[in-house]
Amino acid sequence: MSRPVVEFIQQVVNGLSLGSIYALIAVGLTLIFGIARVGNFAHGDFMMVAAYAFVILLMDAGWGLPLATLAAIVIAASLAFMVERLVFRRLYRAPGTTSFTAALGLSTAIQAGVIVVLSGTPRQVGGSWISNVIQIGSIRISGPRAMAIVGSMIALGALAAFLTIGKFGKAIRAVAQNNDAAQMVGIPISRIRVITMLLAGVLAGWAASLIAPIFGAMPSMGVLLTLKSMAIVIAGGLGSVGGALIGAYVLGISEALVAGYISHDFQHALAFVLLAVFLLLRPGGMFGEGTVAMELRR
Amino acid sequence: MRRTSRLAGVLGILALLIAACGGGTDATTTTAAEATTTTAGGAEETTTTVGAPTGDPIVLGGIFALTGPSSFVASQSAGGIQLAVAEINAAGGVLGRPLEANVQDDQCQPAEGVSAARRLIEVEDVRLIIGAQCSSSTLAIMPVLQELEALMINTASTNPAITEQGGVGGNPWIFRNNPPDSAFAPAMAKIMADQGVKKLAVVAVNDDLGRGAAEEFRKALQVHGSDITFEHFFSREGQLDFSSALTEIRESDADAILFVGTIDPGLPFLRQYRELGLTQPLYSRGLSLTKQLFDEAGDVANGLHSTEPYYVEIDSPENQRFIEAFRAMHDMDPVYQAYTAYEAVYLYAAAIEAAGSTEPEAVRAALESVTREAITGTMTFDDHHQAHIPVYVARATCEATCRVEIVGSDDTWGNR
Repeated sequence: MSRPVVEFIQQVVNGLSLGSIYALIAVGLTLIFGIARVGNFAHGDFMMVAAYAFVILLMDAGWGLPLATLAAIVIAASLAFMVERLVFRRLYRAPGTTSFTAALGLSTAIQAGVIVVLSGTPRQVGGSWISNVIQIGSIRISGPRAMAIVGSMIALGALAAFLTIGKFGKAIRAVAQNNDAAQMVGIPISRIRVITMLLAGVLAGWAASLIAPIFGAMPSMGVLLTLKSMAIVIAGGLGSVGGALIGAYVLGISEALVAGYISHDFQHALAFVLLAVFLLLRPGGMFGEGTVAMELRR
Repeated sequence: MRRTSRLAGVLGILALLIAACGGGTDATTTTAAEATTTTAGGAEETTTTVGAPTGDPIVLGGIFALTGPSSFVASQSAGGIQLAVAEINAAGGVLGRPLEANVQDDQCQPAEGVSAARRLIEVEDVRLIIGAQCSSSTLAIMPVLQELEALMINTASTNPAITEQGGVGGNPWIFRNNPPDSAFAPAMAKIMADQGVKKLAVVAVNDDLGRGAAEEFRKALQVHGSDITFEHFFSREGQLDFSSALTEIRESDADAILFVGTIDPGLPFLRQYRELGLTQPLYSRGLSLTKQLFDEAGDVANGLHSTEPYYVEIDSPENQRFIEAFRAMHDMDPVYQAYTAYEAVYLYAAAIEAAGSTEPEAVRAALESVTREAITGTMTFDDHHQAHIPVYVARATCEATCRVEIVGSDDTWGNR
């Protein structure tokens, strides 16, 4: 293969692994938004706490990969549960900007908490399985990145099944579509909100166990990820799982290509430029119905 | 009731997990405590001969990025200040009064830096400050010092503009005891040229540190007929992915890579460098060659060069004593920002003693002529309020474990 072809395929592979990570975070965010109308800026920080737990349990406590992954999921889900019960639940009737601001504050508080408890030193996952690289010609993909691509597809498949098959899944979709109507037919909205937060927490914990082997754990790891995922969620249509999913992969791959072929300076601006274009052309996002302004007024 | 018990259950699980996580760190906490006891014993001997300081404490302010992606360096700087304060107090204090530190967080952000400086000066009445950590923040604070007539010794920012504006440059309130990038870059560029680097790829943090360092390296490389052929500036706010930049470098004709940034982005950068199978040798400005780095990065650090004004490998009795005291207090090896912050406290102590006062104007005049025999050399401030301690270039060699070797130094930089 010629050099430009190798570079192109490598960039697409890089983008695919990025997109998988965005997808797990963005889908969690959009679920929470759909059900609770909360822009959860602390979502990436749930993942960060879980990532630290994952690395510490795996590297220091000698737990195996499955147990450490399970612990990451339990921790992220517990955090999401506590935040829902202690903070968001009290703000459902407040204007959108209130819960928004509360989530921003939580994000800072969680990061500061991790720095106080764990001194904020970044951690990496070591071990031979980490440095395994799958190589086809000159195209390289590391074991952890391949795991992230496969792992996020498994999780998203399971989520799709949960949302379409089970009673709770149907209820979640009903609440996302129309809060009031769902309540009128007897869906216990409060419980659905808790289940959705738990679900988003599980996804964040799963994401942590896939991201930590690639990037390690550090207090600020959730910040840019959450901001970009928020842009994906808005562009994909607030509350739309399909929109978030497609948006995540589109952003991951276009970021890699823009950085590789146009300019690195532009890479991180891309998500937000795309967002601005979307809001101008389709105020409801790819698959959304209402506009962002409408959602925030609710 | 049911809700409460469920919440209790979750809290219980969390508590168990935290306890499990804590298991690994228990050992270190104990050693730290034991170690502290030993130094305290040593300190007692001194106090019996000198007499404990009395009266109102003299408060030194600190501004460091205690939270955010540069918090490791901040903990080092604060650690250096803490050690010097403890040593000076054990030896009788300054003007017979004890020293105290008040360290504020600026998250490496200029706006936060300015508000931390105003809080220290206007609210807490602390006018002798050490900081800030990040160049962008220091540059933003400098006009505030001038406006409110407060002093700051900078110990960790490397943008050359700080020196250019200091002293006769227009701002008499800023001093700096760590070298600027205009000192680091020529020392490193010489080593690069010796090793045959012609085309350098730079991956640097997108702020006054990264942009300033890239500029200085370009100038320094051109002296040797080499140049920067690729630049990638990454976001300071938690950028984790370097794969597209590294892919481009891999497919380019760059024959070496310079990384400018701290350990937080550094670790994922090094990991992805290995994943993508790059082979160009690595150089860094900002990554300290420490146990923390080697423990987490592993053998990818093999061959990594860095340039700093201090290494634990500097072989002198003064350095041994400093390292042991720092380890005893903080249970980690010092990096350069701990050393320069430590010396800044001693510089203030000497200046306050010489001035016989803590008034900023008097201390400022005294600092201009103070001489401090620091660990790596004599610290005196030139007319731009810049101290000239040597800069070093070191290389990591990793087999089973990593060791660091100093391969170059320059103690004549910036002689005006």
